[in-house]
Amino acid sequence: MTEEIRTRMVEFLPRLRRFAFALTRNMDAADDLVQDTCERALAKLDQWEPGTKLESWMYRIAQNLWLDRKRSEKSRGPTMDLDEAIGLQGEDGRTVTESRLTLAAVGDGINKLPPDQQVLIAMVCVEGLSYKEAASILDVPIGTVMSRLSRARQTLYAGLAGDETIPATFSQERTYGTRS
Amino acid sequence: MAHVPDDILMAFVDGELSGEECAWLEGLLATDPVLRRRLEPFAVTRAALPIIFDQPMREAVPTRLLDVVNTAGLKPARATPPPIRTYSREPVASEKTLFEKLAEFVMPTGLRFGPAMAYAAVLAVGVGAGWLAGANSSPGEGADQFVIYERGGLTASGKLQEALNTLQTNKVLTVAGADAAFPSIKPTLSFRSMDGGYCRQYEIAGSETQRFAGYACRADGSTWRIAFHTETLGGGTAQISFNDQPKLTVPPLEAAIDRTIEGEQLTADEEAQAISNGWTAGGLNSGRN
Repeated sequence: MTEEIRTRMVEFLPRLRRFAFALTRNMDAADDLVQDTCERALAKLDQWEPGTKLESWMYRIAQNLWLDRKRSEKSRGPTMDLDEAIGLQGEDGRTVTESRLTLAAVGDGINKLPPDQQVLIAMVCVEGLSYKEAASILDVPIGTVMSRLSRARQTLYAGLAGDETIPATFSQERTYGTRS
Repeated sequence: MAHVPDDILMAFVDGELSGEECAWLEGLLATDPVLRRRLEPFAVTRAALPIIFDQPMREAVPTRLLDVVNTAGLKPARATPPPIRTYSREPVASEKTLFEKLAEFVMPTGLRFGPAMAYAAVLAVGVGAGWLAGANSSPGEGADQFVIYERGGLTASGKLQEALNTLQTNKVLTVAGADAAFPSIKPTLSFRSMDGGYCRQYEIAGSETQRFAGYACRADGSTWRIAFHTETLGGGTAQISFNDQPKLTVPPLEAAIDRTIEGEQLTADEEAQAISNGWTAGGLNSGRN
């Protein structure tokens, strides 16, 4: 039983890391969160109901740990280190630059959202969970998921479109046909 | 005009509506530019975020995490870790830019997603800008829909279709109208795609400040399937002609074309021949190989 669960966890690790990366925007912090999540899950395996999805249960543990961590870090200030995470994106200088601006802009936008909205962005937009699954993990009604999530995405998009961060990504090479 | 709540638009993009609901909403979207615009925040976030955060999907899981899963809570003597499986659901992507990846969603043959994702893809490429050029984006009388949504994808329509069919590169079709507020359309490049079909890049100078750019590829018969279409950041003054305006440079659009184009752009002669042949693939290989 436990061996089977370990195998399922290993298979789930890439997605759990992506979820954690979307929450922390820092690959090292994401891996710390994944590690804590797995340790917690294995230590409390008796609390998992075998009929339910292991993945959902682990998303729930991860987001609880992340919220705890966020609360305790509040007094110490933000630790987001995008440069480090983005430095891994590619060897080609241009790729790195474009990724930096884009990931940085999006990460920055997400960072401004309330934590409960950040979690939904990570669950639905990044991980592709259904509203129903997200609602059951967070133990809130589907309507709440939808209203929070639509607010989050509109806010995030407005920030990206409004400050022209994305077009600026390319400005060092080519210019738009902008005229005054 | 129907009022559609934001969360329903979002659910459409996320594939959470039933087939019946989708059909109903698609009907509204086909005729309502304002509604289409309201899809953007949802479509862009849905399409772009998995790509932005995909680093963990492209690299191996660190050993320290595998060790935790395989050994935590076990007595060392009994440790028989299961074989480590690598994640193989998605092919390992090469290093591409975000826009290159997004562009892949909208390659002519790449409309493999359902309608909602087709929207999402086109919108995502035009992130930060508007997209459909329905003349002045006002659905009123006389407004010509240049890009329409047909089942399966976005298609050039009306005067845009006419311009792509009949105009040589850099010739301008001005849509006749009672005043100067009607738009002009100009093909700016013709080329063959890697699929062997013809594609044409175009610009549309709308009324006031609107300009659009994109490219479309010949799908079948007389259909030009829109592969890329975006509003460009066309300046703040009224520009309704192409005079004294250099060709627009829209990097995401050019990146998409770079990834599609086979060989060089068509010469004027090749283009003239294609026009007279109705852009059928049959005339493609004449003079080549």
